[in-house]
Amino acid sequence: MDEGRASGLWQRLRAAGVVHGDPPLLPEDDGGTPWPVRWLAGAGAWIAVPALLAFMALAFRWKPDDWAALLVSGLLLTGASLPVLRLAAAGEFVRQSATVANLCGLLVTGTAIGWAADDNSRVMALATALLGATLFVLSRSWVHRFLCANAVAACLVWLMLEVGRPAPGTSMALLLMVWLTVAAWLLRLYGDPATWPRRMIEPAAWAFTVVLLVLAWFLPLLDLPGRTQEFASVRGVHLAAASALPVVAVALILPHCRAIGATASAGLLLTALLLAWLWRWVPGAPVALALLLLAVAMGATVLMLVAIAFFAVALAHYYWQLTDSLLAKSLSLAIGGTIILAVHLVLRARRRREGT
Amino acid sequence: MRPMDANPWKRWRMQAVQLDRLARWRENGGLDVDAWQRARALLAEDHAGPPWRDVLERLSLWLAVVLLGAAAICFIAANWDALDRFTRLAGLQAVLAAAAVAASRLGLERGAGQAALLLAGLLLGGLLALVGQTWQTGADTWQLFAAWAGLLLPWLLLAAHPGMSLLWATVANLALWLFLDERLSAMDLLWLLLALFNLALAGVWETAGRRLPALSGRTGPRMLLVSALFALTCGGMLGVMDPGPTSGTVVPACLLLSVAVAAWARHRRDLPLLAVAALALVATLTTLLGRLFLVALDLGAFGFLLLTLAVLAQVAFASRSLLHLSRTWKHG
Repeated sequence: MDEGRASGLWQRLRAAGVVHGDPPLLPEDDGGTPWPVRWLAGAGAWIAVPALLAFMALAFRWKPDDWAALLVSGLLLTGASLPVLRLAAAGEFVRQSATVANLCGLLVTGTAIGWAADDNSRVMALATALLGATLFVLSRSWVHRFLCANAVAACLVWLMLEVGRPAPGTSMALLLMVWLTVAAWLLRLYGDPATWPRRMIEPAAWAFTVVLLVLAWFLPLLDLPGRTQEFASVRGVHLAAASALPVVAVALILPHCRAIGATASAGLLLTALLLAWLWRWVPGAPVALALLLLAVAMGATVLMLVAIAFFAVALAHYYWQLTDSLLAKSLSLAIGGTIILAVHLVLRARRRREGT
Repeated sequence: MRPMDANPWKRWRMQAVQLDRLARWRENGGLDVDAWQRARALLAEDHAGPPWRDVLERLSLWLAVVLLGAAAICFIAANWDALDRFTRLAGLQAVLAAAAVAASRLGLERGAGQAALLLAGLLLGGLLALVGQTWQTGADTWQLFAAWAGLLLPWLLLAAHPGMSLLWATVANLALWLFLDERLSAMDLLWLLLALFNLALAGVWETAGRRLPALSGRTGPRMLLVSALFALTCGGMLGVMDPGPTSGTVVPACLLLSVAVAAWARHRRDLPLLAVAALALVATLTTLLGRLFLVALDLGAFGFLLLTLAVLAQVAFASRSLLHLSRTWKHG
């Protein structure tokens, strides 16, 4: 929002007796940086980090016995770059270099700790996740926080894949990311920004969403042909993931129950429940719809596009899924389409009634 | 219709921007919790009905159409034995005709009419696939998609709507992709030709948008230009990593066309498109530098360090330029 519109909003609030005095000045942090610039910086870091890691691996030829040297290098990289990331006035090149060096340090430190524990990959993932979470809190850069949250989410997924109980790790990882993502966006929507600052919640929510999207795309490819026999063991997990849709619907509708109307609220909740039940074995579809509802409630255009992409991915995987027959899929899609069409007709009728 | 309903998307975005501003004021201590909650309540009751409801109404219509279209495609793919081939064909034609008649009765000036026509467009593809499946001519050949695109053309011209235009662009892209994949061995050239096709489509859309208000939005051309940039990046990277007889022309062409899209985005003050163009250029140039440092000069570890610095410099330059442009556009 430009300053003119901001002062216009402040004047309206002042006229309504909500605020007094002049509008507060906001700090010049990167919270105000347009999202395409943040996206470009994040993508650039994703390209640069592997290149820097390849340089270090080739230049120093580390082996698991060298874990102490690796640990010192990782901590040095992390420690030296962190002050720059806490500095608001750093130049773009310096800030970008610090982000890449810090992430590289994070991964090197995590690897060193894993090597120190007899090359234990679980320890490696846990150490990286903990250090990533610490750096997330200490940093002041939106892009760096987003990348740290990415690292934390990836490590949690890794741990889930390693543990793989009580259901296959792939399903457990998906379930974890679904609920982390939904919780982060709900917190962004309803949490008091003074307690839950947007500069912390938003990068985490976006990082979880990106990891969830990647998982939704690649997890079915990880499921080997024989895995469909394990379907019984993942049923509960799929149900828990699909229940994100009714839970989000309840969270969005209940606070506005009076404005929406009791009948319409009940109808919307029933629809969410029906769709979640209908697509309970295709958890990608209800989760995509839950994200779409959150995007609509928050006015978040980019999240809406991501949710639509997520939904398209879920439909594509559903087409190739082997558990249901194509005829059953056709029926479930037709029922889902009809239910959503009914929601459209009800909303349209309501708008027309209110307009007259 | 209420005057506020003229552009529900704009109303919806405006409220979100205002709520974001309130959150930033609250986050930085400019509002106490009571004022923040009262301000949110004020914004919510300020509009004629919650803006999200109008957005949800429109989204649910298009979502329903996509689901019903997907249901039809799954039904055709199921190849149900209980129905003989003529019953299947006649049944699908009846549904297609019903969708087309519904579009005509509802009127294309209404969203519902456009949605019915889009469903008919999807069913048309299903019908062609069914014909291909029944007489074993194939359900995924380039001829099928080309025929689909050809038969969709009258509806595309009649609808003049972003939904139908995007469906046509997707079908035409698939037809071209399958055709080129069958005829060309040089993959870098294939990607370049796909990019040129999408650039041409974006140009046609932009031109049509000047005359037709329904096509005047930025989303359609932006999606086509992003597709073109993706194809240019793939073509450029493939040309560098796996050089063939056409790579000497394809790689410079990909770089030049990406620069041209960036210049167009700058002219249109389109920051997201400019960022995508910048990333496309960074990816292609980095691949080029990677080949130079790691293959041609064989610098080993030092090559990776140079590559890291090159990426950092490119991204920092692009980010700073984008930030500068964004601020200039905001104040200009």
